[in-house]
Amino acid sequence: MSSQFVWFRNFKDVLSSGSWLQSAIFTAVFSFLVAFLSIAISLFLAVRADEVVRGAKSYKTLLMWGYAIAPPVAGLLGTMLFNPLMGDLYILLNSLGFEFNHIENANDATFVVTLIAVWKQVSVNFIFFLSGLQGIPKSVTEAATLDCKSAERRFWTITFPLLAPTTFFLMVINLTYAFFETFGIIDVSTKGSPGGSTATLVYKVYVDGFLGADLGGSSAQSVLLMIMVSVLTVFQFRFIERKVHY
Amino acid sequence: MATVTLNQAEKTYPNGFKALHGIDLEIGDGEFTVLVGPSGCGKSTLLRMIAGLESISGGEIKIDDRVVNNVAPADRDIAMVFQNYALYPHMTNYGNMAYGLKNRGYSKAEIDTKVRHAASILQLDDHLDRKPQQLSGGQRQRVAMGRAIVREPKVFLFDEPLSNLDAKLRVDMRLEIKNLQQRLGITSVYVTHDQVEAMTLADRLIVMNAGIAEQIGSPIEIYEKPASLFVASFIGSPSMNFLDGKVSDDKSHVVLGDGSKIDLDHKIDGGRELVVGVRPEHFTLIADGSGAQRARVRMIESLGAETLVYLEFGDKGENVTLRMQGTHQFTKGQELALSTSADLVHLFDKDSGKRL
Ligand SMILES: Nc1ncnc2c1ncn2[C@@H]1O[C@H](COP(=O)(O)OP(=O)(O)OP(=O)(O)O)[C@@H](O)[C@H]1O
Ligand SMILES: [Mg+2]
Repeated sequence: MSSQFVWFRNFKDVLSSGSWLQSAIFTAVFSFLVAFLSIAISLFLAVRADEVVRGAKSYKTLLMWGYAIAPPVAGLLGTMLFNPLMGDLYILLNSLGFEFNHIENANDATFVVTLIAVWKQVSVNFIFFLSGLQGIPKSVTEAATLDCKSAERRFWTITFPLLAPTTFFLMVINLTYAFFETFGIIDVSTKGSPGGSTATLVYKVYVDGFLGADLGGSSAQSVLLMIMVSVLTVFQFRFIERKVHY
Repeated sequence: MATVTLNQAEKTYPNGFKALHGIDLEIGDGEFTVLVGPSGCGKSTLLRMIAGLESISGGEIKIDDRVVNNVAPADRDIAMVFQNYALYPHMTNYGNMAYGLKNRGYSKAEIDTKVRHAASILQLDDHLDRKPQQLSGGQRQRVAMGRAIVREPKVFLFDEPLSNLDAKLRVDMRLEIKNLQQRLGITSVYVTHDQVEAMTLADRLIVMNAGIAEQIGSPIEIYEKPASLFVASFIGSPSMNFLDGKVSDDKSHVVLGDGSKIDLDHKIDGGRELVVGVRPEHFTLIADGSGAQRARVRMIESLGAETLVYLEFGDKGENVTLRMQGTHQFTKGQELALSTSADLVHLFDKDSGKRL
């Protein structure tokens, strides 16, 4: 293989190609969805589990299962659940009249990878939230019970702000996860299809570089990815941390 | 302005442990009631049942004429001060005090007036914009008090509010709480295991033991006429001395372990064995030892204003503590003659521990 120095042409090509932009948008949407949903769901579960602390042990173990499963296996489980011939969820969704088809429909495919990624991530978040909740002194919640009658209001004014450090930390963790660690899930479940609409930037680096043999473009993408991640990290710590109380 | 009434209030925890066995109690309007007792006797449980933080397993609790068994804590119109302050760490001190008012729908202006007023009473004016972590322990305790008083509740509940403070601050805060309570005239229930706090703060003292109220009365009543051995040993520091005694056949006196006698004004059956209680401050030292109680010095503690002498009494070597004003010198093993007056002596049944 001969090589030739082309200055920034690879970068120009990458940035001007529609497929890279599509992948970037998908990555952003996907990461946001995964982080938001997995945090919301696990917070809900953790609050419930915290109310019945005695049940927390079995809850914990149950939800830890997801954590112990490797991404490709999670992806495989997902593929099986969504298999058009025998997947339970595929059949269920279609029998409910959704005309669900993740092989041809980009939104449905996004739904599938998001669902698997969220399911996989909820377990980790749950553990952190539960220990965060248990770290809130009992007397503080009790004092709040005397000060505020509405349990929902107490949650938003006391519990949630006190969990802010945990939530912030998990947001970083989950975004990173959605960015980098969902490779296995995507590779096993959708392989980026249909038409690259579920390929994250990381997955695209792999597809273009190893399957498409476009080493130059793929390398340029990696560099861009690195820059984006650095910016994102700085942004997270600079701006969001300020809103984190105490 | 409120009264609190407990009718056979019971508590059984979910694990089956019965923490309170039917407490009857009436707390008058504006009264400062102190619950005192050893660790684990159920003081906090009782207080938390009044607050609504703990369910009531049996009987009823009334605030004024309303049975509150099933009323949510926030609707009971009570405020509680916790041992570890329990301030909201993410809010400023102002926010901490305002929180309860905000949730009760007061206007911004009303809240501001109330919070600033409370802050000036508690000398917190300069600290309102800070967070609780930026305050000292004593100041935090004040914020916790402020959070309670801004709401002008019917009842104040305190669960060992001073036990995290150092000794000097505790004395200052104790006086401050007493002043504040008298000034505001709010009915208060205060839990402590510090008997100095109990004696000084209480209008009415409740001595608890293993889930029951052993005695209810004014601090002086309880000091002068403890209803049982338990109360007698718990109230007073150093603790009351207990000596075995036997009533003489002619019922005229009780004979102690060394053969010395204390006159009886009671008519108790001759030959009956009982426990004789004498407070350390109610022994006097006498020069001529005939007919007096004799004891050997074991140890001396000089506290400046007073001296505590630990003695060995009678053949069985029963422990006796003697409290004397001023400073005194004794040598170890020295024999002292003590006397006490019959009307300062407490007599208890040997088996039931009840006062005779
Ligand atoms: N949630 C619970 N479940 C079971 N038993 C409990 C529970 N909470 C308290 N107890 C028991 O009830 C008894 C009374 O507890 P409580 O906290 O009222 O004691 P206390 O008088 O306040 O003691 P302390 O001075 O140590 O605070 C104790 O024996 C305690 O072990
Ligand atoms: Mg207690």
